Amino acid sequence: MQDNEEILRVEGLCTQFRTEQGLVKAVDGISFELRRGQTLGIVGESGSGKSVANLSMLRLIQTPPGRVTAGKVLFDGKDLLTLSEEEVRAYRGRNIAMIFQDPLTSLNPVLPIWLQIAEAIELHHKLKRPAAKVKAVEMLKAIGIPDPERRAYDYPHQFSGGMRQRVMIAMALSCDPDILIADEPTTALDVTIQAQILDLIRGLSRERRTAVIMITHDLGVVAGMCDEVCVLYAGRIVERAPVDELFYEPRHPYTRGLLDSIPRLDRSSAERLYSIPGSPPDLVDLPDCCPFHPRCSHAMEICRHTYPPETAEAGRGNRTVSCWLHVKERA
Amino acid sequence: MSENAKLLEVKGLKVHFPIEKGIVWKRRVGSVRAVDGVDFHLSKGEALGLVGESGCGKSTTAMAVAQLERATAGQVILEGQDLRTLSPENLRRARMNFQIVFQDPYSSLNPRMKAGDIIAEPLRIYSRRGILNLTEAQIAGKTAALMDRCGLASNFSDRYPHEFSGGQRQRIGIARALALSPKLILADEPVSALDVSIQSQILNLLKDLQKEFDLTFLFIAHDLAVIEYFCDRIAVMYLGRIVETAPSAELYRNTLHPYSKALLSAIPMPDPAQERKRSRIILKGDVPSPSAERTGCPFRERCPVAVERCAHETPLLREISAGHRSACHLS
Repeated sequence: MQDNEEILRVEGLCTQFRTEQGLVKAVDGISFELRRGQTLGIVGESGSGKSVANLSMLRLIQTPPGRVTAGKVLFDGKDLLTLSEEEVRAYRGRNIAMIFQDPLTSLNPVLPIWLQIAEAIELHHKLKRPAAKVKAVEMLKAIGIPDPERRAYDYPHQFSGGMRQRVMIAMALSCDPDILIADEPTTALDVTIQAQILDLIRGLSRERRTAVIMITHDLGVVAGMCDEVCVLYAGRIVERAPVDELFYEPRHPYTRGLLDSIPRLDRSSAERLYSIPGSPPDLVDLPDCCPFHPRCSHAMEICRHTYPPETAEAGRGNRTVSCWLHVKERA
Repeated sequence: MSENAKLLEVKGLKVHFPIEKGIVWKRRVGSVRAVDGVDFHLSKGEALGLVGESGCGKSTTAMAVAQLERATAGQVILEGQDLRTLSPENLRRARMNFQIVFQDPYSSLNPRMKAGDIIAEPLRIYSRRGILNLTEAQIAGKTAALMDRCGLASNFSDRYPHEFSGGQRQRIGIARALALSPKLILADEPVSALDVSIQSQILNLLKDLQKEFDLTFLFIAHDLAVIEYFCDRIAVMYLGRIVETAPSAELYRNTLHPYSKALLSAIPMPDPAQERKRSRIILKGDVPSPSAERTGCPFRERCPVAVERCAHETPLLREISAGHRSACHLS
């Protein structure tokens, strides 16, 4: 297998929710591709559609009220969105694994830890229970649980938040997946524990060449973990760039505003923080304008009625931005 | 430091929660030492930040200062009077001088009250008790002025909390805290529940209000960058004790305590180049249980530089340089 071989391609993914207030376009045409060993960051604020996009890829959106209305998710030459439920199940966990923000609600409280890890191994590797158990303990050891032979028999409530997240990672990696989707894996954890978990994910993705999709709202986590970043706003990717270019030469006014509004330890705190005025838009029946225009200091007439096309920017990697300021010829 | 009068002085504050066993005949089998001997003071117009991981006792400290949690021992002296010894009536009068802004803008506002009533409530209660002498018209005028000052449009006063976004709710909470013109604001994680772009709006608002009304802040957060931006001095807490206190810039430039060092190094920086060259101090394990009886330094099990002496001698907070104190034998 080649090193920078493309393993996942998402094209024009749209997910909508029918609510009493109206139609919510939670994800509105997202496209990206992922290469082996790459870590892709998906950043956005709450409600920007970052979690919905990833749940949609694995067909985990509850229908109704939600529905994936358009798009393709190409993995291994197959479109996951057109497969039968049974076929998709073979990919979930085996090829694409997920870890969630809250490890306590994602674990079964009445089953011992080893059994929960072994379950996935039995299913995907067709192993018998004793062999799966050995592998489960091995996994616990690999992710740095002290005294794994004994702790394997513990239940989730006997583990601390950081250890539960390690168990989630052990479950996700037990089948050696090609892609690991981490949805805010450290948001519920303290900073020193966050550092442990991020270190673990970083090490594993390097060793096993697992591609990682890192969903987060923390730009600091993105800076330390990702190779490439997609910035989401109101269900669309507004900017996509290699990590250095995004942080040092942000193109979209939203990205720039976001970067300027974080308090930073390495800068003087004497100056006032920049803040983006207003709040994120209500996604119900959003018109086809640039959703950021009410908060944008560069907003022009055209931003108020037409969504800007995706413009490719010159750069080292593939860099795109959706903003009228960067469209050379405006119609 | 003595040119400014001390507004608040906390001496030897301890909050221990009993651990009980038995169903009918309860007996005390131990205690959780949530706050275990905390000393600090606040000068007028100053902002002191309490920072630490979950369970370190920072919120309990604030609640004990506010007399919402009964302290086991110690003194909380606000403007010369010990709040712990006041009669309920006198405590009510003293409460006008200190108000709280809570973390969760969802659960800290009564869902059945209109925004205007929430903000006017403290004024109404104190008028009814005869402590303040305000007519309903004066209260309405004051409420409108507060809403305007906190960036809430005046036509919002008839709306219910669920109609507001998180940032706007936090503005309501801040306006309510300011209603009685307090001198001291206890801000318990006021921005942790907010999105990045909203967080800086609220931080700037609090900073403006501090200047305008000459407010003193006890600011609690787990995010060191937020604390560093907002506060003049920082106190780092670990397992119910303050382990280091210093002026904000000094703490970052010249960190003394190994726990503060680990905490600082664990914070992800929104700067990819810096992130790549940083070396992290990854702490082993989790924070130990605050209920265990212990001797010596509370941090010694996780400390990368612990020596023999740390096991049997508890380090005291001692002045290393002007205004910079650390509780470590080695600093």
